[in-house]
Amino acid sequence: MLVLLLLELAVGAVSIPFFDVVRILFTGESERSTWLQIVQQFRLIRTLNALFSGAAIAVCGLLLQTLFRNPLADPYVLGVMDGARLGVAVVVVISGAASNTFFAKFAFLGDLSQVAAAALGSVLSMAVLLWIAHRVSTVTLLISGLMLGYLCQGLISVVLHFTDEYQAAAFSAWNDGSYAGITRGQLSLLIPLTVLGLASALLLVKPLNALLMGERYAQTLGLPVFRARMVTFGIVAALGGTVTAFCGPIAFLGIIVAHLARAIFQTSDHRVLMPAVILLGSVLALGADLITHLPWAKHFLHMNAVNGLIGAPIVLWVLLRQKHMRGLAQ
Amino acid sequence: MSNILAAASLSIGYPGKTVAADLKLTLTRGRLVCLLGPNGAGKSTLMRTLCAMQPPISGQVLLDGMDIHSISPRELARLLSVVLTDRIQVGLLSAYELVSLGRYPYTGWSGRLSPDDHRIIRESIEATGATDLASRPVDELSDGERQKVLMARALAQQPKLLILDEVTAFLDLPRRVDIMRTLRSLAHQRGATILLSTHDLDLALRTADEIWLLEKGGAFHTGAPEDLILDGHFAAAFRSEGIEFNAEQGHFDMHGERGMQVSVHGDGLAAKWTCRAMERLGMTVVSQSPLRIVLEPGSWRIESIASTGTYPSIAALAEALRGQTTSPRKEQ
Repeated sequence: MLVLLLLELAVGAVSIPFFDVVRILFTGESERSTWLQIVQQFRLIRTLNALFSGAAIAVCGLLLQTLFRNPLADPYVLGVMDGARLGVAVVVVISGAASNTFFAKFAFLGDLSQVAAAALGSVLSMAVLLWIAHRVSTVTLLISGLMLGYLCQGLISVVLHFTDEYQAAAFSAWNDGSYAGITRGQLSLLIPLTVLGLASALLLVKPLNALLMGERYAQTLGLPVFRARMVTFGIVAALGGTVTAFCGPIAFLGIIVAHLARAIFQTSDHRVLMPAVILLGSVLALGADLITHLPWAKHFLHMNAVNGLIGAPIVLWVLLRQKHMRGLAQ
Repeated sequence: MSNILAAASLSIGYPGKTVAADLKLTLTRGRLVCLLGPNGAGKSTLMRTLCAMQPPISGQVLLDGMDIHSISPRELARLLSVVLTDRIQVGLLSAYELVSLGRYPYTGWSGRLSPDDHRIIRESIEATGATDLASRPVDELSDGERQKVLMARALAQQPKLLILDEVTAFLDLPRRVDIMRTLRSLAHQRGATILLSTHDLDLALRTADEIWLLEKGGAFHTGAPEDLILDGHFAAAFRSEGIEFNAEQGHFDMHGERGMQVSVHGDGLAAKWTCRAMERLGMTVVSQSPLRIVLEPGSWRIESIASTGTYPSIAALAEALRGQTTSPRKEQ
């Protein structure tokens, strides 16, 4: 993780030697002021963002998988992120953010309302999903999630119709999902929110383990199932909403990490999985981000392209071996 | 107090539909009780009401002297544990880990298990004879093995009352006998109080200390299995199902309609199983009939107006009788 972290800071359009990176980090000075600026102004923020967002999305994936008892649940696949995006789109239009750039000019309040809207959007889409999940099988739920996502995307287009062209363009750039386009101010909001969300998720490990047995059993174990469900929902909404508001929709990370953690530790025990997922989420997000801005990548590779390249095969693999699926059954 | 569970004038059902009214029941410590009844009589509703998953329409259920709905979920989980028919899919948990979930109402926020918890888990696994399964992943267990692990999990909750819903369904006969034997020894040797709903009438009659019989329409009888048979409640409860309880033989007759009459003449085991074969063919065994089966050492002879013949096995006898029983029916 440390190596990745340093690599992330060092590698990019301008390569900076490791030694200097370390020096900048610890002493805050460097021989070249451009290096200092690049590391401090851009790469450090981006790195921190990837670390926290990655962990947050990965935890969302694990929570949703247990909650829906569905191995392919993930905030992106299930359309929760689209719900969040819809929320953001609405806020963007309502606030009329007339300024020239979409992100940079957002004040703290704007950021906060963006997060709130995104969280609200994800809550709404999850409520729909929950309603559907009771009635259908794993695969149908996934399709429903996809449809929900498309529905939200359609609504987003409608909403964006009311904004000017430039804003719409900025919005669509944000749509690709990236850890790069975030300001220091946003980061100071993102970190506390995700830390809070992750900490609450860690407090949920015991109820989540009980939920593995199904809701009726969990109830007979003394778990207030409805409350546990709502709390889990709240955490997913907060984490997913925050990250989506600032980084855009990050695809597949939620699925990949949870399955990876199960495969590595060979358990479904959340007491092991939760910390593992947080750590792996950070590492994978960092790794994926690193690939997107390797010098030869020239920013052609989008974040979600990398995630999709890794994530889609994993989803396929899980679907194909579903008959004897051991990770988390439907 | 020796009554773990008690209810008087309890009415169960759903808003607008009372399934059974004015039930009176008590469950004594250390007993194995089987709840029986035809399909649709409301067994599941009663079970759900007794484990607080569903409120009663009127009356209250007292668990250990307390109204079951006034007990906090955590406290309730320490008094009462259940094994449900729900198919559980716990992914990569081992049997041991699954059983350890039974300690849920006793552990702190993180679910960390103390040495005491581990001891109780091991004892529970031992008590249900699942020791060999402990390290295996739950997903790889057979249905019967899984039920044992789930029973161990319920025991690990250290409940005063164990409620099991249809745990023997979908299991083959040896497995069902095994489960019932385990339950009986839990009740008699370890003092567990167990309520089990089942469709397995024969096995329930042979194993239970007490039978709760819920008839269609809500009539409810309790008592020792033999008492319920002798006073005819048992036969009455299942008459509507199209099966007839044979109080002589202590089992259910398979045939719904009364077929041709036959008399079997002979002694011992061979005679008993010849009678069974006749019932299997849809015939009614009576003491005297124009159609006689006479047992001789190693062979069976048919004596009737139509024909006489000697056959070396019950299969051959049955084959010959099939020809006879079908022809008279055509004439009717």
